[in-house]
Amino acid sequence: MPAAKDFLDTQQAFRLLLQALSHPGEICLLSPRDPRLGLPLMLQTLLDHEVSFAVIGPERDSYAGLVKNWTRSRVTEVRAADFIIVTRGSSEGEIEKAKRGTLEYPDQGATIIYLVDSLSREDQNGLRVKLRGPGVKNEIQAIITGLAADEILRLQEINLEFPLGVDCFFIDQMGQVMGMPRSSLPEVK
Amino acid sequence: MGYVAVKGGEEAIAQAGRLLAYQRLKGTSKPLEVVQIQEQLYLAVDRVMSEGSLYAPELAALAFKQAAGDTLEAAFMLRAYRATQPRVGYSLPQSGEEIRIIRRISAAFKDIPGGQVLGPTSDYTLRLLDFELLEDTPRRRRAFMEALGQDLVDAQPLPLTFPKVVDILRKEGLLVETIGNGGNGGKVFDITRQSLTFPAPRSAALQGITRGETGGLLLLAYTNMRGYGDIHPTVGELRVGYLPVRIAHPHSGEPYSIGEVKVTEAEVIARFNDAEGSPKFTLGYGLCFGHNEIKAIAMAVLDRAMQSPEPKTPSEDQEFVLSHLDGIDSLGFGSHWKLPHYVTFQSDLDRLRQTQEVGTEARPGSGKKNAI
Amino acid sequence: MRFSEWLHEHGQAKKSRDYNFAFINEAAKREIRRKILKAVAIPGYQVPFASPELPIARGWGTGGLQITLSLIGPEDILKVIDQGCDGSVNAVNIKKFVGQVTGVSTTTDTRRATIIQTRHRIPEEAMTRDQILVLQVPFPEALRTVEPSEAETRRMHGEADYSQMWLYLYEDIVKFGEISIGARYPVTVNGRYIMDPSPIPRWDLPRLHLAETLFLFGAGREKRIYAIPPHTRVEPLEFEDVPFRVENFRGKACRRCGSRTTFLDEIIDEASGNRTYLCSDTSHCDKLLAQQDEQGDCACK
Repeated sequence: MPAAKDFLDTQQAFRLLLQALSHPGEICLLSPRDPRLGLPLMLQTLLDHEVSFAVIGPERDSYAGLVKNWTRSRVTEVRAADFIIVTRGSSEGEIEKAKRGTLEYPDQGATIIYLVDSLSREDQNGLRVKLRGPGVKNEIQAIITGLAADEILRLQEINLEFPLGVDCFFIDQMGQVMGMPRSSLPEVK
Repeated sequence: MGYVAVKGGEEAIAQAGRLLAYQRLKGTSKPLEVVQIQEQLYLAVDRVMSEGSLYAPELAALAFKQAAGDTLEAAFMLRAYRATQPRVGYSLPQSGEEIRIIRRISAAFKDIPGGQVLGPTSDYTLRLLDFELLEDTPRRRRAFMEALGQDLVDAQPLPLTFPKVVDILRKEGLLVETIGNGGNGGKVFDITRQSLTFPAPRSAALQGITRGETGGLLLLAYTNMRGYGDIHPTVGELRVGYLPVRIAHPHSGEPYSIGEVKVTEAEVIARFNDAEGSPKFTLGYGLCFGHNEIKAIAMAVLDRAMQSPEPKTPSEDQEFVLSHLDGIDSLGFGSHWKLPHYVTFQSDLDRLRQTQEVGTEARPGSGKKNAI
Repeated sequence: MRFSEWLHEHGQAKKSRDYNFAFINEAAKREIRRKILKAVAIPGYQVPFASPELPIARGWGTGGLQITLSLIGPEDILKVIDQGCDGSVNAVNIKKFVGQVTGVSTTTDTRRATIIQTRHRIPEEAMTRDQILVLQVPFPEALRTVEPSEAETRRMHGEADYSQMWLYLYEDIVKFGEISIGARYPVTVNGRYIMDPSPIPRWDLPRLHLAETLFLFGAGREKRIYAIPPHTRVEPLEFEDVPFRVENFRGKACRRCGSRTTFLDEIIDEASGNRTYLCSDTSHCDKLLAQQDEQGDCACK
């Protein structure tokens, strides 16, 4: 499935990802053409043969094959990966192995991409996540369905030693994206 | 009016460009062909390719012409062009042993396996101006070529490859392969793709120096040789020739030759005492595009100097050397002072006036306010 | 299959004399984009990046350009300023280059632009959340004044060990009565990293604090990218009893638009030797002037 027809698709996708990461908790629509293209487009924008990735969750191998095809990126272990894709809203603790960078080079911390069911402002059923921190005016709330509640607690813990930590994107089945950098202070309601 | 002068920049830039072109064209001589530069000013072309970090003789000659003979500017143009080119693959690691030699010498041994090959060198020519070149006629060239052809009748062709001189020392166990900053987990670092951080692996350091500006490289290496450092190099081997470039075949994965590049390779040997205090030899390595012996030697000296476990002089300090060698960087920064700085100057002026008003009466007091 | 055929099949064999959209090749853009995201995630921290060469010299805005070229798409509207002025030669040159390699439209109007690239100023008009300001940076390391080694400044940032910097400022006050840094005044970002805001005047620093806009900083020669996301605390380093102050233009006004609330350039009149003042932000000055013309009221008398 060729998500990025040309450089303009990845250029636009990058701007949306940048928008999402500079406004944590806000929901941005990544692929207006076709919701199914959201994930491949995002990966083609960020990954290539210069970086590595790992997959956590069911269907690990088939996802790894797809991602390799889309991006020509290298598969590796979770603890060495630049990008980690969590396919079912929970890493079951695996995420604790992710790279967090060093004090001299915290940017070497991994980027985690969570595939979730939906992101919204109003949905009654999902996980209510409140964010504060850079990029957020006062406080913002997002509702995520298909994400385990303890996953946010885990991320909270991982990012406790800022600037060490990991940065997250959540992408839902509609191709909507939400960012949560390590500088964000999340709270589960 | 100052205000008006800063506007109209577009027109001024266009006219300055035309005036620059005029400088090159205003003479009465015949237009210089790029191929003439490529063939007859080949050392300049080599230098531009090496500093420009792109092996492209025709484009380097074009850049040299466009820059009116300024090698730094020409290297800069080539680098900028390089940034636009997609990377289609990586070549396979190649040993210098496979260089198709046109020249190789060793200062360490009188007789070396394969023999000394002087090749095309200006080392033993007298640097006297050759006034006959003022009249460089085709007829004279033909006469020279004919005489050369006659003398070549009995010449033996060189072997395709030569054994490495330093291998003699290696076999005797006298050579320590590398000291100080070592590898990168077996991977070759690429400073054009990964950002350089310190301490840098040796592959990154070598890449950094080989793109360096020849004059700057020589200067730093010279400080070390002359006394601000401890390297007393012996040229183990200096090679000039053509290095094959191989890639893994996209389908079979087998090595596949896609051409060759002209390179100069230098291996210098210097003494050092290992952890137990026993003397060993260490190797400094230099390799650059084209025929540029002084660059390769200076590079090898710096490579060796930067391996010093406890850097004491600028040339031994890896961060110092690698941060200042790039000609494109230093050229740009050195010339950016020509840009207007009047906002920062205004800001400084404000400070100065305030300071003079207040004098040195005021004294600071207690704690910092927004310390963390 | 021959190598050339393989190249062709993989769609990479472009005509060697064509330049890519936005000049930089896509793989290099991807690298810059990854680094921009990390910069946003760690406000005020300098992310090292590979910094490809551009046909404009190092030190002439290449860091800003690399960011701009990695951001820009055909729909963007670009504004470029140098010393606050759209018409200055360097700004014109950069704008022309980006225009040539992207075909985007350009503007001098701060409000209309989607991306603004700047050297040494932040526009006077407030920017919105839909805009990005890209700042050109010559010296990304605020601590360089007190420590020449990159390895050491990295350690200092890592451990938030800023005692040397505070000592330097303290000694400055002892010597000069106030901190003598003019432009490039160091700030603390998000209460963590000390950051060089690029050589903007102190006048512009308050506009970085809790702003609506994303600020991206690019140092091409030094190969660093850093960022201040919107709504992020940005505080100039100051002591309780020696507070930070911006440049003093009390009693001065722009000769052209009469503004008393903008950063001014000092102009020395050739004939009389007198000093007069003009707005540094020229497009803002034009706007103020146009408003006055509409109202039939001229402040400059």
